[in-house]
Amino acid sequence: MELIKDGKRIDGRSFDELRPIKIEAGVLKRADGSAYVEWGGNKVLAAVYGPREAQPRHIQNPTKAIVSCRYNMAAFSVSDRKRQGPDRRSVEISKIVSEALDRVIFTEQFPRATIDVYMEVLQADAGTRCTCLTAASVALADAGIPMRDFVSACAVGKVDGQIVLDLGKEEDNLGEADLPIAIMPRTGEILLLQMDGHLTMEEFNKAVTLGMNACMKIYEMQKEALMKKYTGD
Amino acid sequence: MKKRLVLPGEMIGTSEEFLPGEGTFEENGKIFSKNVGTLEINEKERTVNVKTVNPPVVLKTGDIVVGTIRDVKSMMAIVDIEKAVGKNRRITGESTGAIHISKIASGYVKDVGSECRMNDIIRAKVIQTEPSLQLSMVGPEFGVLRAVCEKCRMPLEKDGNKLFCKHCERTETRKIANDYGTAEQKL
Amino acid sequence: MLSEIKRDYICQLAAKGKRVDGRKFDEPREIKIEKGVAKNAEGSALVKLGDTSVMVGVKMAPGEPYPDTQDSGVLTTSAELTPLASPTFESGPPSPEAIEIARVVDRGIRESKTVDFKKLCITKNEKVWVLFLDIHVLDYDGNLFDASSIGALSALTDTVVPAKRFEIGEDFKLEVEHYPVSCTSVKIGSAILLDPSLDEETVADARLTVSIDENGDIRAMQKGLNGSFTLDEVKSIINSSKIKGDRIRELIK
Repeated sequence: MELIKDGKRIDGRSFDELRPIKIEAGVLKRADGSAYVEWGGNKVLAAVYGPREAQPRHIQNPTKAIVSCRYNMAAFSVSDRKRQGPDRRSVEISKIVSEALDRVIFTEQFPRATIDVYMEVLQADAGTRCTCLTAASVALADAGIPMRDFVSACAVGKVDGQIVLDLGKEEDNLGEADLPIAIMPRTGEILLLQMDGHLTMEEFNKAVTLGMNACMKIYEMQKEALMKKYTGD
Repeated sequence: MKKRLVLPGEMIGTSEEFLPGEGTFEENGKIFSKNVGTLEINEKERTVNVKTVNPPVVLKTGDIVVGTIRDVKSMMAIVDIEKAVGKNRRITGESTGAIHISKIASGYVKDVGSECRMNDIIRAKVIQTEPSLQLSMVGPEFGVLRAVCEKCRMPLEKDGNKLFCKHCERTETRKIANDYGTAEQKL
Repeated sequence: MLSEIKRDYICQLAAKGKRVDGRKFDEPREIKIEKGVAKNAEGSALVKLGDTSVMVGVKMAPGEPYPDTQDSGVLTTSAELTPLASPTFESGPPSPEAIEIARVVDRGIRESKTVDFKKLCITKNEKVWVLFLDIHVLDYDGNLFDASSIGALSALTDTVVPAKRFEIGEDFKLEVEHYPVSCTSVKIGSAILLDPSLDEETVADARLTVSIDENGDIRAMQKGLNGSFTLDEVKSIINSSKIKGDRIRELIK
């Protein structure tokens, strides 16, 4: 399959173009904070509960709150039905997302507590972890959790020898490399970084720059979503 | 002045201009917001604060809470706090409080068990949060909101300053809140 | 424990013919149905019943028939009470509540012949369509039974059988033959309330779900909780379920 033709990608995007993104803050009634993100064909809901007393007690940290994330895919979110319950992939994503969010939260303000972040993938299209992290960060802000900054995420990849932004489904399946990245937009600190595939040193540098620039765009959309909820414009 | 909404990580001043107040943090001489909230500048004291729009409920002295008596001891009653009055969000952190015998009622209390019993629902005021959560039921609006008969477990009705069970025709004593039996709107 | 105080309040209001949110006893909350919300599913629907929100997706794949029904497709229903939906839901294996919801919805579809599973036979004794119905609860504000069953029926009406993907001919629309709509009522004290909110459900003595089809016939029932109903109460619930169900059916179609 030809993934790049006449300088355009398979879905018509240019190399540095994001898929359409929609972010909404405060969409659930019961959760303390929530967000809904549509990113290309991804549909993700994130909800935050807490800070609340960590249970069972032996997991409590007397000096700070635990940030506990759960990434879960709905059975109907993928074309081959996903069985209920966590698989190894979900557990890994939950772990790295927890770690990325932990860095921005003032966890020391809530000793012995847990801040639970639940992310449900309702429709999956490639790039769900970045979509989830982006949603989770907005949900945390919506829940009034004190934070140093947002977390903004995006993936970059290599397709037909080209470095391209925000891989789509076919690009993700057939591409040569995939590199999801999440940053603190204010400082540029990298909070999540994974890669699989094959990149030269030069390609890596190009990819990281492209990804970080895209994160800044995501950051603007995250802020807009919260401004819209709390000021109505 | 129109109140400005600020977001986490947003720079709201420098350390030369202001002292960082509530809902803010300082990094390399700059002051940032920790939360989604409204920016409040106190020109007089030169402080900047951010008032969070959806803050977690952290109990502080003076807060009014509703809870259930979990245990009655000789010198105190132990309360499982269910919620802070007027807040929809659940409380954060420690949810077990104690009411010392001297803080059960304004007069002399000889026996804690004659003023509140296990499973009574009570309203109380937070009088201390550190090192342990201490509550007080002194005051007419504080005390038992709902209690059941020791024998038949049916709800007791208010009868003057005592409680009465219609079914067993028994009277029980409690430190009763002034709106006993009609407290639901004030949760 | 606060539920005891809430219960007193709900009973006091009910004695005056009122409900906390101002509804009449037999008045359901607003229902919103959006179909085709999950494009990787064969059919899907997002249902909002007041602030309760449930997403249902249908996935289909060829599989083996059950030994006792060699010429019929297979229905598998699951429900997930995601911890996103309520502070009281936990992650982990399905809770008894989730299993009860899945089974009630499953029976409602299976026993009422909502779908003619004989039409989902590919090769007798060998290959049939397996229909996975997954109920994903997103926001829990009471009455998951009705939100889930309305969602399930809506998702089925949205379903296209993916025959082409499995190289078994052309895609075709799943035929929905009957429209059984379930309505849940609870009893609190002596009051019977239709479509209970979370607070009402929490303090209820007894619960009854009645599923009625387009002909006005009863297709499924489920009584829950540790209280009881009189026969007259049951009949009256069936009657109001029929009236309200007719309106909901129009929304689903």
